[in-house]
Amino acid sequence: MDRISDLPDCILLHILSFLPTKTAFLTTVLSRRWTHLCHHLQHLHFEQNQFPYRNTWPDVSTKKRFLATVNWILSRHKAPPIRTFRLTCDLNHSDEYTVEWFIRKVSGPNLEELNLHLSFCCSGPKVAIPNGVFSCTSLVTLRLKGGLIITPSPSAPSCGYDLPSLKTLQLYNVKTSDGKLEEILSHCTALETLILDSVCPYFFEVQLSICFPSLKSLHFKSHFGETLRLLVIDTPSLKRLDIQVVSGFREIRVRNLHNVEEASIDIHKQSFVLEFLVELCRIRILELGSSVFDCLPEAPQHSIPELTCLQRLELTVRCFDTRYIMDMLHKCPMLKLLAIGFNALQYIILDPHPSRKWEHPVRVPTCLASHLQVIKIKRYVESRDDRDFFAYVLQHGLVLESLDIQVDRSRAKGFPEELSLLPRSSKACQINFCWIPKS
Amino acid sequence: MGSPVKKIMLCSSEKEIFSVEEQVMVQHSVIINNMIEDGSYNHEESKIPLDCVDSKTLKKVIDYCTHHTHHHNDNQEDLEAWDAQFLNVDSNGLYDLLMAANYLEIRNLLDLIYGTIKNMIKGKKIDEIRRIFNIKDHGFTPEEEEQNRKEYPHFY
Repeated sequence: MDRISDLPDCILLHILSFLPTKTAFLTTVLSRRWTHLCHHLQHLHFEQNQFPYRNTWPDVSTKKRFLATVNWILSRHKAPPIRTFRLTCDLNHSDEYTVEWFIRKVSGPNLEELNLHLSFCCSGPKVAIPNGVFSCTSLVTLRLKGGLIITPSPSAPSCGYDLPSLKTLQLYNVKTSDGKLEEILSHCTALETLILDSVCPYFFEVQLSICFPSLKSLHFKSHFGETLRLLVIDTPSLKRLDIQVVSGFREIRVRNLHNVEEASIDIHKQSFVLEFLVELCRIRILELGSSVFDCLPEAPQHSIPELTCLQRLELTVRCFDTRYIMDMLHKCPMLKLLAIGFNALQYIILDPHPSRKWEHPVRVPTCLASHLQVIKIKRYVESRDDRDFFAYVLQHGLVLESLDIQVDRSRAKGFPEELSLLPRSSKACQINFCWIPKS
Repeated sequence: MGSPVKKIMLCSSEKEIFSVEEQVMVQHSVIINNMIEDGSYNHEESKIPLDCVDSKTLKKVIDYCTHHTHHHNDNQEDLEAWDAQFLNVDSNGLYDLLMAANYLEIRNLLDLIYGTIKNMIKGKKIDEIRRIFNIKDHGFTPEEEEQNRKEYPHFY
């Protein structure tokens, strides 16, 4: 007998577990020695695009053939129980029942990862996640994306939820019924990574609490609209925060963000932005999105807290508001890198409001004299006060190493030459230009 | 000055004895680490019998562990190049290494070998895989084989 077929089952299974499930399935016809192995796989990864349309199956659509294969493998699956199940596919009308059967089939006491990425060719049908998934005590990773709903099942009242091992919960474009999300979250006691992206409740949700002592990373992007009245965030271990709120809710309460090192904030309500900034006292890397640009420049300077540990600041702007940029520099004494990116969609507005024209600062921002080494401008658009700003930072930036500007080739007429003539205090400072790639 | 480097004895299936730095094996092999930790290895007299590992394979395993202990700070590219050179063996040599790494529970060596075998299968047709692994007797009856070829023509 050949040597590879001599290897024990456990080793052959391990080899198969490194392969895409489709390739592993192929080994059922490799030789009799291998035929039974694929029914013992513990990690099943199915991706529809691994099953391209073939002329040899002219009568069955690719989608049907794909689901039939998954069905074939799952229905013949033998012990040991499945530990990972990943499924990426497009669904037709009425396929949702098949997928619901798959989920019930794999949700055993040993399931560690459930990862569904679905899309529907027509709107309407949705896959309902069976309640059993939320009482899978072994589950470590749960990722649900697209066309899914979480509703209470009529047969099981809202009890028995238990997710003590869950470390990663990612929900994208998932609908939940009233209060369900809050209830599920309250059972995830060991959660470290939470992504709620465009998760929307069906009817009316009063509040959402994200309060986890162990949470390290939070991404929250909402289309909640007015249905969410109150958002509470209380996460003492959080290291990374990414929050984007498209439409507002009435109230936000933020506590215990003192361990966050990296954050990205895009909220259009000034009082909420300030509430986050006050809590982010040890932040090292901060991105403020274009929604923040719409509200923060109007805030009184004293209301913006000093960010004493901040090393890297990225601002997305709609125009070159030099006052906003200088105000932020004043708040960041240790800043090493400043990046300013123009929002690509808003080319039309070129100048800041007349009331916000360049004002020569009374005192030089601390970071300019001692820390600021790099300034990067992305998708630069000329405006009224920019020459004053560049002249100022080049004159007062004592440790500046580079000023990198990405500029539109057609708008650049004479600008690089003009800039290179400005006096620089830092002899080492380089001014670099690059072109915006044509889209 | 520091105490002399502690050594342990490993005994191959041919009863050949290899003396290796204890730290090298403890770092890589879960099994040996356990033996040292629970005190079942006596430095004065005992040697660890590895009845299912021949001398040639054991020497290679020790080479691997020694290199990865002393060069773990090298850059990734150099290490990968060394690994590729290390696994440049015939398929019998590869299975011997796999069995030895499995027996001694050397995780990073196992992953390296599994990755190599995976690449030998991935993207290939059945006939090709049979040739690569020298599977001459697939064990199917001619009828079954014909049926499979008919059902999954794109696999062949």
